[in-house]
Amino acid sequence: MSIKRSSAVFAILVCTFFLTACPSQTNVAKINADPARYRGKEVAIAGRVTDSYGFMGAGGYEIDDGSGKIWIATTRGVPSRGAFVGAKGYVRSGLTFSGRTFGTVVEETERHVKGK
Amino acid sequence: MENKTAEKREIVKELDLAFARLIDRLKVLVKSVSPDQLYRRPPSVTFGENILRSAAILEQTFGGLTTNLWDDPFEWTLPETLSSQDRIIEYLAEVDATRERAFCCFSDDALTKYVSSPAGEFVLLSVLLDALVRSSDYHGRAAATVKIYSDESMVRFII
Repeated sequence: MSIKRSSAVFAILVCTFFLTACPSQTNVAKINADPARYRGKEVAIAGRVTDSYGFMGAGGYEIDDGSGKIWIATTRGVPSRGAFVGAKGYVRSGLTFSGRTFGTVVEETERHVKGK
Repeated sequence: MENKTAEKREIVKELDLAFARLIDRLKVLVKSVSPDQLYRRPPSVTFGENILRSAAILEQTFGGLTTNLWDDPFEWTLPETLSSQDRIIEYLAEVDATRERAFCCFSDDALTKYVSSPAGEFVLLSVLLDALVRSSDYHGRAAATVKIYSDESMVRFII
């Protein structure tokens, strides 16, 4: 009985950890359609880089995931156009960053480039 | 089905027309003054600056809505850069192109959806109306400046 109870508690803890720690995998269209819902939330997006700008490592790049386009603000250098990127970050509104003003933008916390 | 789609763009079409007319009025005003009146002081804010501010509001709004980049066009709309009537007309044509790009994607249903702007999240319709009102205000100031110029020349004529 105690083993069952401790397994149940363990399962709840594991689920809680994964549900709170992992960013929601979503698509750009959903974010752009309802930015208020996603504001301040961590999201994960994957797509191709269609535009970018940067200076001294700080800048932004635009990802197209097939459903729409969104800008990602970064301080770790920008990937080149055409690269396939998976990015995690927090959705922000009305952010001015590195000389540009964004409507809806994802502030990058983590990035994976395909093939790296 | 086509009728249904057309119905869904009725308000959008009216708004688009209002913006298109405003840009046309700006073009007409620019052509109506002499080159020396473009940035002549007084008034403290010149005719040309009012025209550029009016157009810049439209460019920033349409650019922001289509690309999510709400950069202030201040840098590329300086009187030094847009120093002649031809250049201003060219810029107004660019603004008109951004209007077309923006309005081709809107539907009446989308007007009630929230969009992010530097000032916060607002309903699309309110963002568009705000831009129309602010831009029209600068157009009105530019038109008033032209009136001052014409009144001046009238006084000179009478004297």
